[in-house]
Amino acid sequence: MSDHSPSSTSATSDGHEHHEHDWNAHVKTYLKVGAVLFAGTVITVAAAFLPIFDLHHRAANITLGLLIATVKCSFVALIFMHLKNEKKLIYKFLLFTVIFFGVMLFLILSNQSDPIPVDPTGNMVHHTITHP
Amino acid sequence: MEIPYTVKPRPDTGLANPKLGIWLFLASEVMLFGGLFSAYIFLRVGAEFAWPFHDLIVWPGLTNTFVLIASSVTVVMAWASLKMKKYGRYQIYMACTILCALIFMGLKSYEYAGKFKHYGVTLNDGTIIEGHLGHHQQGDKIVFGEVKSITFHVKNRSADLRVLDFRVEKNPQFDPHSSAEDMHLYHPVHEAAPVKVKTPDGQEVELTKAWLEKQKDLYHEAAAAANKLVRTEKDKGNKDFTAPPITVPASVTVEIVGEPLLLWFNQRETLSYDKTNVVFRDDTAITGSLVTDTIEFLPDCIDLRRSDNMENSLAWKYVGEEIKTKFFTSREAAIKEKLEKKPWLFHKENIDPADHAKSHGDEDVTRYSDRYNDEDDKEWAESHDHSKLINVERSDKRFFSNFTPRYNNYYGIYFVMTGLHGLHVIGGALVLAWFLFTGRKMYETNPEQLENRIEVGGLFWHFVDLVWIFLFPLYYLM
Repeated sequence: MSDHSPSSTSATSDGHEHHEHDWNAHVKTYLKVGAVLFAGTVITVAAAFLPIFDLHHRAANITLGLLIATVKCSFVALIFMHLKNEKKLIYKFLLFTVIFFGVMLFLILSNQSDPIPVDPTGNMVHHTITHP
Repeated sequence: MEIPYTVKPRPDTGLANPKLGIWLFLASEVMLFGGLFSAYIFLRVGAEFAWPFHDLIVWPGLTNTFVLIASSVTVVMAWASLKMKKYGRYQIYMACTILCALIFMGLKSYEYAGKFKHYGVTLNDGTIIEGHLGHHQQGDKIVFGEVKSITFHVKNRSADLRVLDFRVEKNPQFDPHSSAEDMHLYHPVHEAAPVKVKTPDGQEVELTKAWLEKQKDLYHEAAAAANKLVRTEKDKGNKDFTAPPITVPASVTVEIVGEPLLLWFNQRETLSYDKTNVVFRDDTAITGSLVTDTIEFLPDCIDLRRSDNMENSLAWKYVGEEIKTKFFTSREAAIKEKLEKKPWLFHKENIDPADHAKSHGDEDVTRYSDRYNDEDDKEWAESHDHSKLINVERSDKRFFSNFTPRYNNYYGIYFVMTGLHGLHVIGGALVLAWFLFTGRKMYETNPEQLENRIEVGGLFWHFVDLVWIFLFPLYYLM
């Protein structure tokens, strides 16, 4: 996809010094991403314990926690796993993975729309049928 | 044999084969963990119990998150070092990665061990008392002593010697004031230790499987002979023939020679028991005297979220009025604080904060334990002295277990997911260690192939980190 990919081996054709210089830049990026991941973790923990996020149903806490986790996950995938400069074929595979995962999640969660009525304590509501 | 495209990209895919292979593998891994993540959501949304919130201690999980992030950085640095032709640095970074994996697994074992030793008893009114076993360490086992005779129901083909597996003996060095972790009152007796008994005909024999099988055979041979006799007579037309009684008895009672036995067993092993008799599931019966059938327990948390009536919870009977008063005092304070600081929680629905606390499982007003209340509670929860030992009556117990998958669905899915993740950490670390210790030769002959190997191994390692990035908040924080 790109000749500047950290995973491409084309850099070997350049001079050794230039090559190492290139890699030093990558190393700096990796360290920065590491720092971002550490910071993300600290924020996640803080969000779970700080009272300002203590909202109804903990919805805010859960949303924020998963949001930060997704951001962290993107950093790892894009930079550490070099997805930023990867070949198209791998994107295609991952697209299918995402679709299949979505379908699987949907199939299981569709159970939640079960038509059997329950009362607030979770017990099944029994309808009494009166015959005329 | 030369494997093609380990280094050079294939013209049609544009990728070297290992890269394509690992991504396909990771895609299947996404589906594997994805299935478990959706199981987690499913169990949580449909939970019929208060889903544990901040139940796991955060610091080991947080430390492990840092450790895994650090290892992700070191593994990518190891790969970059190879690219820069610095083998020494590669070795250091790779060693750090493996060290991180070891720390991770060490902390995980520490956490698991803590869960295995932590117990919860759900009382009949829904209240849960959490805590640790006392010195007796019998958990919810029934202790039964002075066993002088055993009756084997030899008519039952499945009768066996399982009763001997329940033998325990009193620890002669037992000291009730010792705080040593391994100071237990009872020690299991080795299953193979022989037991001498006196049979009904006065013989002294050793209780063995062969002896029991012989008794069963004797009875069944006699029964078969009687059956045969009946059939023959009926064939002859002797319709009024009644079989003579079987002379071999259907059960054999043996007397223990020497010291009477002391046993402990789970209630599920029995059909029935009372103060002097026990009948096991294979109909084997023993006589003796019941030592205890209560659950000896050192409580460290009272969870009233599922209690039918907090005021009259069965828990107060065990932990005492003083704790009850303290609980309600701190509960009222917490509710007042909630009303003052977070009125929006209650205004919208115009509900009573106490009801809100119950329906939403707010821990600070429904649990009494170290992590939610003041210093007093902390002291109560953390002091594992035996003065606060309680004996929960069996008739009050609904469910008893340690914090293992059977405790509830939360711990079920927790152990499945973190266990599977732990196996991935071990597998990944083994592969990376292999590259570390055997990579030198390849580095000298074909460095690009080694670089590719490390990249592929690193991709797997990053994936393991990715899974943990989601596991940590899901289980520890929300």
